[in-house]
Amino acid sequence: MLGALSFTSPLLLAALGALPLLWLLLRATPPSPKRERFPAFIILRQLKTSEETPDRTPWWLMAMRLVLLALIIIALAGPVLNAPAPGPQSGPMVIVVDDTWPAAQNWRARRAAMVEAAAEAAQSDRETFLLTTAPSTAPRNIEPISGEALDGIADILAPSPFAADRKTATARLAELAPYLSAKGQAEILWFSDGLASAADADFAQALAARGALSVFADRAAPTLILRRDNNAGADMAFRIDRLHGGEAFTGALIATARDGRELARAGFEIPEGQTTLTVDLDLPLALSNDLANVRIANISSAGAVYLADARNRRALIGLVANAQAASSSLLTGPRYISQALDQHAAFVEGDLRDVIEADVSVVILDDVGRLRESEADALAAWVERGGVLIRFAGPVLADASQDRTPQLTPVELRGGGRAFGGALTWDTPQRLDAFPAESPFAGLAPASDVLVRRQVLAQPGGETTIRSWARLEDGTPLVTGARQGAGVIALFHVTATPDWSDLPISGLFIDMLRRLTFLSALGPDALDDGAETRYAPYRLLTGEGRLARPGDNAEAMTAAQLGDPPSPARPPGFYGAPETPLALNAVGPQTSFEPITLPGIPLRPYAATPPVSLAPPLITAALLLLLTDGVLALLMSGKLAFRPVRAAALLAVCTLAPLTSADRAVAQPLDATIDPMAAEAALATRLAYVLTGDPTADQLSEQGLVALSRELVRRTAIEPGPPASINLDTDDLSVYSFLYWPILPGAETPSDAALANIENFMRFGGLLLIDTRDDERAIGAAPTPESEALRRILAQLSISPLTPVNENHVLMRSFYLLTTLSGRMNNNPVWVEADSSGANDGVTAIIIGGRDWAGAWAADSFGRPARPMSGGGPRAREFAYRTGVNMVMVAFTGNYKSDQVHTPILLERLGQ
Amino acid sequence: MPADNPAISVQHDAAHVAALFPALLLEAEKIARSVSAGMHGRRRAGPGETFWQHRPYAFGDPVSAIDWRQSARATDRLYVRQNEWEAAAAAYLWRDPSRSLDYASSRNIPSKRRRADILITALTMLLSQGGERIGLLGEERRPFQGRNAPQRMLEALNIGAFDDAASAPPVASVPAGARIVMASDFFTNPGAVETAVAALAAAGAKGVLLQVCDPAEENFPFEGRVEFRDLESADRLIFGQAGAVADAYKATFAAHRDALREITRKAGWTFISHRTDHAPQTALLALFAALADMRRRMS
Repeated sequence: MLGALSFTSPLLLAALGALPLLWLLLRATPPSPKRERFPAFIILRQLKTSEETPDRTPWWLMAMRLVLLALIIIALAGPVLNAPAPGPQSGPMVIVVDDTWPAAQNWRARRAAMVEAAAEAAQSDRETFLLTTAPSTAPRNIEPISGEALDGIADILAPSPFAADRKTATARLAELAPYLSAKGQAEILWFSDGLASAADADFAQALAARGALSVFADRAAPTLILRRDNNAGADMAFRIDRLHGGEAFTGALIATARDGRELARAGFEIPEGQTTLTVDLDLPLALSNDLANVRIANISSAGAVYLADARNRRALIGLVANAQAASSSLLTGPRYISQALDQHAAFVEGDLRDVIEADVSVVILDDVGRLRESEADALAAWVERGGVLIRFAGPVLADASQDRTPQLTPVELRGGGRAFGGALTWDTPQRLDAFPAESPFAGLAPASDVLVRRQVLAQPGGETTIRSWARLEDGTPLVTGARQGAGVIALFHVTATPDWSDLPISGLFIDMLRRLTFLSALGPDALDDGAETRYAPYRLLTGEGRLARPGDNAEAMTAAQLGDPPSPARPPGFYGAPETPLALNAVGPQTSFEPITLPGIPLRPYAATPPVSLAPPLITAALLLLLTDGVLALLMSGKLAFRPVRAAALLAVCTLAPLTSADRAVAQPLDATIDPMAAEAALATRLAYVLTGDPTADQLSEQGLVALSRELVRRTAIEPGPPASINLDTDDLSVYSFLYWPILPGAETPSDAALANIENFMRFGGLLLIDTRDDERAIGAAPTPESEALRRILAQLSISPLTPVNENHVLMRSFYLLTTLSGRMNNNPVWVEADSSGANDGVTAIIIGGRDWAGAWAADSFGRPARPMSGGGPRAREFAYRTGVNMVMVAFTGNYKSDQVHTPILLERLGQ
Repeated sequence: MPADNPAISVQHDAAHVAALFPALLLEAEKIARSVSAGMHGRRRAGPGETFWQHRPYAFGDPVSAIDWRQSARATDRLYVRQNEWEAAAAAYLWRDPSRSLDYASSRNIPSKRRRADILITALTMLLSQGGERIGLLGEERRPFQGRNAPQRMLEALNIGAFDDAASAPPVASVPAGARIVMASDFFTNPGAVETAVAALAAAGAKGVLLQVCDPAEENFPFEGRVEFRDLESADRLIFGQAGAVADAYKATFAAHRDALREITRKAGWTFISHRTDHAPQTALLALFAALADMRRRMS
């Protein structure tokens, strides 16, 4: 997309007129000849040469040179793409913003334009006014903004989930009057959302009357909306509309479940020039009932989000017909029912027991009279659990209720039935009465053309009156219903076929059945409240299409109100219970979606593309041409002796190299930055201990290792720095050799990353000393809290088999000759890797014991022991230090001293 | 690159030229050896000045030829002293010193000048092996003789220097019976060549004209618009379509060569043409054979 091309110094372009002159001049100069030294000149002199005429420069060379010059001239004229138009205005500035959901899709461009306008206004110290057109319960006052407040002008605005209300905005323009009149010509910038509304022309006129109007509209970025397509045959069909049928648009629909997981993703491509596309989301029934919303990927707009209403969930309906009616499948009740609910439900037909086992949410009994006792019990239990049972009357039911009312009916029935309008009846066929307010059908308009000719009558009485959800004009019930447990039982007093009434062939039938199936989705509580139930907002849609918690002033809505288009008092979003929310979408089927047209006012695009100076590429091209010209001139005069192929290759390289090189090469750091702690640890040898989170234990670990380090410096060639504390999750263990890990009671198993860290540490030569510090408490195999924690941790850790350390182990020989690895307590064995002949040259990577070595080593800064030894006094402490020295020696020197183990054998062999 | 100090410049040039010597000598020797293989020297008794051998007196020997001192040592016989057979005159060589020879049309073939130097030096070697004296035509100094004749010839050739004025062979006086070898491209007025040849022939000299040419000079492989520059006079000629005059050039070139050949025919000399892209041995063999033939005819 090329924007406007402008020149910084267009006068220079006049030099292009001189090009033809140049053509004549250049043509007159012949190309320079090949020059040859030649000794046989005496012979050449004798040759009669024809008159030497200057050779003409080939036309293509001429043309190339002219292009070269033209390029230079144009480059010098400073061509700039998308140069910002100069804003010479000085009066007040009015910024009108459509902060609506269509604007959210390219809000960044609008924001940038706003920031730019505000910056300009701030620079020239102009009074600025902000008018937003999205409807709001508390519209912002129109007052001058100036100075620093202008900087934040773009930040205080966010797109709202409503369409623009330009009529109100027109009225509010009057508030500007006191400011504008005195200050001369105003500059009015209308950042429109590009969507047509009713009062566009009036608004534009009103704006134009108050100053110089610039209208911005977005044509480049796609403006899309997403709606449920009810007309398409598929169940989960969505219609995507876009405002401008420009280039092909490729995107994806993402269906998200209530718990946030992605249910499905369907890629789509709107062909070039087309504005509408229907996308079918293929979701299994179970998944589609989990659907919370569908959105167009990477489009942030409330219009590009479809919120799934719980009422749209597809119920699984079990259809059970009476055994007798099986004549013509086209005239049966189940057929009418399934036709009516085809869009909204799936059906299971069959035996009642099978149907219940199929885990249906609604069971429809079509003219079923008596149920067997077991079936009735199962059905009753199912209803108690929350099922919705819908029964239709018919000859069988009427017959069955002759002697006593069948089970599972909401009201007592009178036997037989009642017929109207027949030859032998007195009454005329009855019409429907208005639906009672407390019935689930409340709000539906009773169809005037539905006549009921026969019905099953209920025993009149208070209960019947209360339980009548729909009545005929004479007050007799058409539909009765009652709650039973967590479920509902409803009875149509007519058949599901048009035999008894016109209801099954009216549109009302569908709505009534759907209202009843809603009960399975919303729960029977929906019944109690009737039409006046108010649903509290659960999550509200922002203009960008995000779901946010409702603010304090969000009001609860009735179901009927939620059927209306959204308004500031009724923001789109989810209402009601989180599991079964009612949805109010930002765009409904009636939402108009047409591009804005303002006769006589040009629409300016948002300066989405920054100005691009074309001079550098032009100069580059000119230089390349110059190079080519030079090479060609040399070639023609024979100065370049190499083969043309090589010359062409050179030319190609020269030409292509600038194209391939990156415009702005950014140096990437080759290696990840090194953790300063690790860097420090790598510079000086350190002992390390694992942080447990318990300050006392951590302090003891540190004190122990400090004291051990001191002893190491005193006694050995190892001169460690201060000990390092290790967070297993984050720290790099590769720079340490010796890691002390005290296990506390109830220690949590480290994260997977930490475990992997430890395994790596051991695998690459580290020595891990695990200390449960429970030696004196561990008696036999009885578990202590520490050993249980250790067991949990080791269960996750991959380590070699362990064995109690014996006297010949290298740990006993590495520096001092020891008989045991002494700690503060010396009761239970210390464990090391059993057969560590594999990795690490047979050096154990792990030492596990409960001897509280750190406690034995620990001393304060004056060298006074921090913990008493369990026995043996200072001599025992000395052995603990020797043990520590040996461990560190093993960590640093490995099996170097294990040869000592073999010394007796070696000596013996030498003796022989 | 003229140096500020002429002495240093001369010294530098001399060193440069001296550096050329061994390579050139080596190359010339290689060529000469390939030609001389299988040929015997000319060491036999004959008219000359140096002693060759004594032989018993035979009837008819002049009495003055008897070596009395030697004869006195023997009892009953007389010895005649024989001198070594010696050519009546030396071979005189000439190589065109003008800049016109400093030309090679391609990097892969030597310049005419170098090829001529090599041929002359190699010829010197061959002749000196035969014990002959070799002189430089137009030089005052005495003819060289013996083992170091090639070096001295090279020195005399002054291979680093050019003399554009002497592009035609000099008219010099030589002893009668001298043999002349002139190596040049002879891109000069045939009249000048004829004058020199006629003068030498009149003095009783026989000789060879060796025309050394570059292949480009024979074939004229130029195309398109070409400006030719003379190496000696720096004159320029521009041909718009060099390819178109190639045939005319070749005809003129052939005519020029015929003129040279005619000159040699008249003088009873030999004309040899040599191209620098051909093997030098061929030319050397032809030269040597021509010289040997002349000797036979003269003696």
